[in-house]
Amino acid sequence: MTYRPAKFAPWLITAGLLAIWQVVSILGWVDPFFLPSPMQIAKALWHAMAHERFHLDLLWTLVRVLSAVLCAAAVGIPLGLAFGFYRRAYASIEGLIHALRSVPASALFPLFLLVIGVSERAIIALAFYPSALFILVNTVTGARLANRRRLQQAQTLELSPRRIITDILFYESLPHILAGVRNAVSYALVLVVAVEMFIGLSPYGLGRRIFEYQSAYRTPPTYAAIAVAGALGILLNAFVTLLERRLLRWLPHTQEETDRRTG
Amino acid sequence: MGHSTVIVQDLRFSYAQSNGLSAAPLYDGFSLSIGSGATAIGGESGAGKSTLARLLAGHLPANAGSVRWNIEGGRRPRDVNYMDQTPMNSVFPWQSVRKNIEYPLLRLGWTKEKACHRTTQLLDIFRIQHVATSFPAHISGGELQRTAIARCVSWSPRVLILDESLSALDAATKEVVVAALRRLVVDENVTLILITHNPADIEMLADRCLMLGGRPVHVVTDRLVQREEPTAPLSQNANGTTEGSGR
Repeated sequence: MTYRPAKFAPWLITAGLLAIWQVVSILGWVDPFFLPSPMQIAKALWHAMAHERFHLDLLWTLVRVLSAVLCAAAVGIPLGLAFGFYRRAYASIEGLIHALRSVPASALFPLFLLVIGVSERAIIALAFYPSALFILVNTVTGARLANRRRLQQAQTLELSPRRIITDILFYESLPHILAGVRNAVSYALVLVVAVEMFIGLSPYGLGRRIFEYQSAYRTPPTYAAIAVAGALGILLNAFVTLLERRLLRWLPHTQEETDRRTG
Repeated sequence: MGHSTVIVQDLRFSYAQSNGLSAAPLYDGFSLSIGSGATAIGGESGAGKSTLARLLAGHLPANAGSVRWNIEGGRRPRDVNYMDQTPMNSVFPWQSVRKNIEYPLLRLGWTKEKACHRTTQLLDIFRIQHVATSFPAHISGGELQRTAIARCVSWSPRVLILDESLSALDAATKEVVVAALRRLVVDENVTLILITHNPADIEMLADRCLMLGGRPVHVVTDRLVQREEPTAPLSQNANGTTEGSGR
C-alpha cells in the first residue's frame, strides 16, 4: 500500500504556521512594522476591500493576465500547429524564435511604451510577448512528436492539411500546449504585477497597490496585497489544472494503461 | 467487386543504405504475387516479414524493383490499409471507441447516417458495444486490438495488411475477430495479407501460406491451406446476433 497523506494535512500545517506567527507577534518578538501579525494583515485586507476598492485591483490584474494569455494562445497555438505541419518553414525560423525567447521581456517594456504608447495595451502586449513564445514553442514541440503511424493514416484517408492540423496535430500536441499555457500564466502574472508597480498607467492593479502601500509605510496592507497576488497565482494554476483534467481525460490514468500506449 | 492483387518484381531493399553502411541487402531479386483471399506470411523472428509488409503498404521505399497493385479502378490511398503490432498506433486516443470507427468513414465521404449504421454494425461484430463511449487508453488490451481492427476494416479497404495484429487476443475473442475477417475476405472480396509467426492463426484465417527465410529473403514454402468457409454472411450479423463464429 502506498502512503497517502491525509487531505487536511496541508491545511493543518498552514494553520499551524499562522498560529505560531500570531503567537510570535503577540509576544512582541518581532517589530510589527516589518512583520505584522496575521490578524493585522487580515484586518488590513478587510479594510482595503471595504474602503479602498481593493477588489478592483484584483480584477484589473486578473483581466490583464487573462487577456495576455488568451491572445497568446490565439496566436501561439495555430501558428505552432502550422509550423508543426510545415516543418521546413519552422526549421528556417527556429533560431530566430529562440533568440526572441532569450530577450528578457521586462527589457522590452520601454520599447513597447514607445511603439504602442503609454496605454493598457502596452501592459498586455508585454505579458503577451513571452506567453505567446512559450505556447508557440511548446505547440511545435508537441506537433513534432506526433505519432508517425497516425500521420500515415492521414495519408491513407487523404486528409487535407487543415484536417491533419485540427484532427491530429492539435490533439497530439495538446498535453504540450497546456504545459505551455501553465508557464505562460505564471510568467504573465509576474510581468503584469511588475509593470503595474513601476509605471503609473492605471490607478488599479495589484502591483500598483503593493507599491502605494509600501510607499506610505503601511506594512499590513502591503502584506495583504502580496498575499492576494500569491493567491491569484494559485488560482490561475488551479484553473489550468482543471482545464487539463477536462481536455486530456483521454490520456491513460494508470501505469498499466501508459505501458499499453507504446505497445 | 473485382479482385485486388499485388505483384512484386525483382525487389531489392536494404536498411544499410539509410544507415550509410554497406551490407548485404535484406531483399534482392525478390518476386512474389499475391492474389485475392487471405494470404499468411510466416517465418522466424527477423526473417523480414514486417519489412515486406511495410514495403507492400508503401511505407518503406524499395531500392530497386517494383510493387505493383492491381486494383479495380486504379489504386487510391484508401484501398490499401496497414495495421501494425501496436493497436494504439491505429486509433486516435482522443476519440471514443465509437468515434474511432466512425471517423474514417466520415472523412471518406460516407453520409452521417450510413457511417453511424456501419459503426453500430462493427461494434456488434467485434463485440465492443460495451466500451463504445470509452477512450482507447481505458479499455483492455483485447478490446483495444478489436477497436483498432474494426477501425482499419471500417470502410472495407480493398487490401488489408495485418502485421502481427492478432497477438493480444485471447482464444474466445480471436475467434470473433477471425470470423469477422473471414467474412470480409469472402463476402466483400477484401484481399487480406496476414503477417504472423503463429501457426494457429494461419490455419484459422489463411487460404495460402508463405514462409520466408534466408538472406537475401526468399519464399521457403508456399502452400494452400484447406479450410471450411463460415456459412453466415456479414450482413446477417448486423441484425442483432452477436454470435460471431458462424462456422
